[in-house]
Amino acid sequence: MWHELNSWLDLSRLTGIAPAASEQAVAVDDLLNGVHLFMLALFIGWTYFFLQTLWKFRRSKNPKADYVGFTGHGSTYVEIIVIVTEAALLLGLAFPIWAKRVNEFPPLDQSVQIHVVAEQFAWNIHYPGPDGKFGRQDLKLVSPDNPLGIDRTDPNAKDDIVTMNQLHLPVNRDITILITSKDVIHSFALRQMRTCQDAIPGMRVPVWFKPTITTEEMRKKLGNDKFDYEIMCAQLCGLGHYRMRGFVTVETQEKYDAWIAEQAKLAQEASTGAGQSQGGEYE
Amino acid sequence: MVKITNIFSIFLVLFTVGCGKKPGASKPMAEAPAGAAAGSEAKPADAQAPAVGLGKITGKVVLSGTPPEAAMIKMDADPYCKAHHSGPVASETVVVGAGGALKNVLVYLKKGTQGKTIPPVPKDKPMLDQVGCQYVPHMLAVRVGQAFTIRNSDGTLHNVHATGVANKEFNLGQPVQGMSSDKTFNSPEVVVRFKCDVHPWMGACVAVLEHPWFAVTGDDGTFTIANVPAGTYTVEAWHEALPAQTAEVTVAGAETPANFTFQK
Repeated sequence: MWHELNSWLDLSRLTGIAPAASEQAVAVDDLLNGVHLFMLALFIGWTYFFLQTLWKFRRSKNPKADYVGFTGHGSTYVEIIVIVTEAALLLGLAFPIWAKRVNEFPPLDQSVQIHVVAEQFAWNIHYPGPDGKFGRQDLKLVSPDNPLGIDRTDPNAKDDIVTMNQLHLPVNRDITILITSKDVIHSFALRQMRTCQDAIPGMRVPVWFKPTITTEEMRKKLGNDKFDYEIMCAQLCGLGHYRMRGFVTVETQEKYDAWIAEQAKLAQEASTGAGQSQGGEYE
Repeated sequence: MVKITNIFSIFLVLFTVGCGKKPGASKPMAEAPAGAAAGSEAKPADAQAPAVGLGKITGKVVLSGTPPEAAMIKMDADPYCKAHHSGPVASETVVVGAGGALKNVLVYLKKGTQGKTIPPVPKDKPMLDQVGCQYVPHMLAVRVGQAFTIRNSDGTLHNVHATGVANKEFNLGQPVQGMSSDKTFNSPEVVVRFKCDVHPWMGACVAVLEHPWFAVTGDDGTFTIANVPAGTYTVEAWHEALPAQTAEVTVAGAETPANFTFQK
């Protein structure tokens, strides 16, 4: 019901917020729109009060200051209404949205798990590959050719896919992303999915969402052939922060599977051909 | 009470300033007088050699066995970089040419230069350029105290990050195409590794040496170290990812060969 009410006057769209592209974004947009409508009501109310005050207590009619002002209990009722509306937004919308987001993670075996490791100034995306297992990582193996220090002699790591700034996601599937950082605090922000999480060195923080609109569909919707979902860095991390962006492609399950298979094949060829690197930066 | 504190503070400041070290001032200074003093005297080891002149060391560096398959650089991380290359770009960590020729190997005189006259630091400035989101050249060798230019020829931000140990680490943002800065390293170091904070695959090695007797191998793996005074030296061939190779070489005024074979 709240959602129907909200769609009637979608102020969020008027304010230029990017259209929602995930299941969880709908509720967040409802909250945003609710807050906007509430602010609009308050704005009309307070402006009316302000103008009325200017008129009623203008100097020609009130040469001596009035120390009483408006009388009556009207203001008390308005205050009560404001408090109740705020409580409704907070307890009825905001708390449940937040609780659902942090408590109701989908079961691990049903969601697509991806590790994202931020560094100055790029996003390393690590997929487990077709075997579904993440390979071993070792700090000593970190080098420009191997930014995540993946130990390719580990059988689980043979098909691990590591990309830089390229995140592919299947549409209408639960995605769980574990975010961390190699150096300073960054923030993984997918604005259209209404998802944002600080990338904190030393911690792997999970965040989940379900994308609902593919890149192709969004391009048609916006009439923009060049549109791409973006990972933005949302926490100042240094002189390259302003251009620290990744590219997200949301595609159908078939296309996603084909991409994973192709990348895994390349990764396997690389791990048998190149073998173990001779040593990294941290020997 | 106030007066005593002021005097004490002044002494403290003078003491700190007076005892502050100037970076790298000691080493090159020590080298020059010793070299000048021993200059024209022939060393005992050369007593049997023919007329002393300047020789050169030439040779080729190869990698034995099948060359490892180079990893491909993920240039699609930055659309500008990807647009700059027509095809996939291989990593420059190990570059092997025809016949196992190993590129970007630094060949230099590691031991034996004690007592030789060391020519002064040249005034020209070698260039470390960034083109197509790669450092050019991948291995650069400079003298201690020789200024070199770092330039960004790309129309995108590069962040030149030098991770020196003996030399001070620095971090230089170059957002504008064509902008350049001069830097000088004042301590010998093999090598100072350069990276780009914006493009993680970018890397370069800058070797800082106290003498001019060094060379970097090209595509064909060959090198020439010219104007070497007569003497016996330990020559080292250094590669950033493979174990270094050394050889004992005696130079006696002519061309002396020295070849190196690296193992994986």
